Amino acid sequence: MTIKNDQTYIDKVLKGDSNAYAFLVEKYKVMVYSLAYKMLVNREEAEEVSQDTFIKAFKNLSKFEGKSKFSTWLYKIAYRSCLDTIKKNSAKYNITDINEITTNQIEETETVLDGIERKERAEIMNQCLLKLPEDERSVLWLFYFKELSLKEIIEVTSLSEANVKVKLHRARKHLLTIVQKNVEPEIINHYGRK
Amino acid sequence: MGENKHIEELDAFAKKYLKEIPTERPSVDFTANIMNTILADEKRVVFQNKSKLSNSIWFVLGGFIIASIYILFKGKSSEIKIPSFDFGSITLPDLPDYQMRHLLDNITFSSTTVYAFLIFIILFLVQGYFMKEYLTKRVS
Repeated sequence: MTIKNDQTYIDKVLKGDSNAYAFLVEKYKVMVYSLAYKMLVNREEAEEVSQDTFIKAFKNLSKFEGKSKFSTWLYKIAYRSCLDTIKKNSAKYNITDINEITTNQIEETETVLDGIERKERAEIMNQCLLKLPEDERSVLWLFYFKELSLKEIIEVTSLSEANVKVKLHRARKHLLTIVQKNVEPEIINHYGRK
Repeated sequence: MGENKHIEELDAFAKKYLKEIPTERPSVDFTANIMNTILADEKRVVFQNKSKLSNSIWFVLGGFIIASIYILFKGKSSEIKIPSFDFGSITLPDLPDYQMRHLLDNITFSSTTVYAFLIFIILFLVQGYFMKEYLTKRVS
C-alpha cells in the first residue's frame, strides 16, 4: 500500500506536478533527518544534508526504477551525502578508540538501566549512541531503530554482508562499553564494586 | 556456542534500549524550504535560453549572408537588380500573360540599400548572440 502510494506520487512528479513531491518529503523527512543526525551529530549539518538529499532525489527521480522501496533509495542518497560531509570534516569526526569489554557485565548494566526513569534512560542511550564511531552508529541505527533488514542495509551502505555483520557486532560491543562507562557510578552503588 | 550466546545477549540489549531513543525532528519549515528550492530551480529552467534555431538553419542563414556579400562585391554597378525569372513559363489561365512575364522586371535596389540591409542583418545576429549571453548570466 505504502509502495503503491509512493509510486503514485512519484508518477505525478514525473508528469510535471512538482508539488506532489511535498507529500514524499513530508512522509520521509523524519526518517532521513534522524539518520543524518545520527551520522553527523550536528543539527544544522543534518538539516542541510537532509534537504540536499531530497533535492538530489527529486532531480534523479526518473532514475528510481522501483526495484527497491523508495525509502531505501532515499536512505542510500542520505547515507552517501552524510559520508561526503564526514569526509570533508574528517578531523572533526575523529573519534578515539573505544576499549572493548566482555559481555559478562550485560546483566549488571541492564539492571542499572532498568532502574532509571525511561526518559532519562533514553537520553543516556542517545548520548552513548552518539559516541560510537560513525560507521557503527549508522549501521546500528538502521538495524535496530529503523528495522531495516540486512539486505536493505547492504543496499543503502554498499557494504558486503560480512562487513555489515562485523560492524553490527562491533557496534553492539562498543555501545555496551560506552553505556557501562556512563552508568558506572550507579553500578558501583548497586553492586559495591567496579 | 558461547560466542552465539554472547551475540544474542548483546542483540537483545541493543534491541531493548535503542528503541527507546526519541526520534529527532527537522525544523518546522523543512518541507517548505525544499519545495521553494525545487520550484525556484524549475522557474530557472523555464527561463533557460534554448536555441530556437537549429544548427542547419544557422548554416543556411550563414550561407545566404556569405552568398549575398559575394554577389554584392562581384557586381560593379551601383544598382542591384533582382534576377529576372520568366513567370510566363508558369501557365495560369486566370492571370494576364503580360503581368506575369514582367512581374519583377522593374524592381531594383540601390547598392546602399542592400548594404544597409545586410549590415542590419549581421548586426541583428551579433546582437542576438550577446543578448543571449547576457540573459543566461542574469538568469543563472
